[in-house]
Amino acid sequence: MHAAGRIWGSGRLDNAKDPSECDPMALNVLLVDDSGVVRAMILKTLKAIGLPLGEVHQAADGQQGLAKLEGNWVDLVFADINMPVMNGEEMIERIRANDLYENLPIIVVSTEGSQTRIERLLQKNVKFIHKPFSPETVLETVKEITGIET
Amino acid sequence: MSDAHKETLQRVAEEQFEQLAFMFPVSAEELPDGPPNFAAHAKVGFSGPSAGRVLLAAEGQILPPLAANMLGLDEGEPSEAEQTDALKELLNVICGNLLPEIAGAEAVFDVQAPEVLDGPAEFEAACGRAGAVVADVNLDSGRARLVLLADAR
Repeated sequence: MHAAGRIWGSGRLDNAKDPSECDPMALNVLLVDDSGVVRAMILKTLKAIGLPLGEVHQAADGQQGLAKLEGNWVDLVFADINMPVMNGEEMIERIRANDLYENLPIIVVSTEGSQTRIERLLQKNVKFIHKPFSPETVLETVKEITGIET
Repeated sequence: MSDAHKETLQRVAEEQFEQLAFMFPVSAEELPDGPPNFAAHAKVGFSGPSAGRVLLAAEGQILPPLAANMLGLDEGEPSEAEQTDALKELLNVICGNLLPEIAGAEAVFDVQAPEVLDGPAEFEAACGRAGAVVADVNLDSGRARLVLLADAR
């Protein structure tokens, strides 16, 4: 998965790990949510379901998320929708506007209850997890979007 | 606002306490006598087919287990910042799950970032507003109260 995941990476920073030092199956994850508690909950869930984790990057809004994405290789993004500065929907639009990130797996984790807006998000080639979420839901969604077996 | 809205607010809030933080409702008789002593207050605003806000007050003893359970802390006390963040996220999830129950799944709302209030004044004023829907949630670790204020567009 690692190698496959790298096709959407935009480049590397000098301080990034050499690929040979990484678990070849590990996923680099970007968590974008203005709540530190939610980022911690998602991270704990990813560990609990046995997802092989590489680097974990965190951002508190969409703008920070885009900056993290530009500077790091990321295999999987978890994004909130309602965030200050730049909301998740705009961040996703900007990500998808870049050919490099056309197929970057993105999972929206949100309380969004409007089917209208959820449908609009799904058209951006993302998966949606409704809060509150269960580890089983996260596991199934991660498997579905990455093809990884945990 | 009807009694049905009050029941919905209470049910949604209880469900989120349970699912997010494994905190379960108990009957009022199981809690100490006397008025609740709310120590933390928060609000979240929304706009869309109707606009308004949801406010939450919680007794102080609720906050540590709320944050610890949400974060999955096995040991140690959550920090004050973590407790505050947990309260805001709980309110965010309550609001996000409440609005489609009241307005329907097709309604599109913009939910603002939740914020912690400096004191009880805004919460108490909201409780007394005409049309306010007020619901109490009794938990084994303490009490919480929610207020829904919404205009009718």
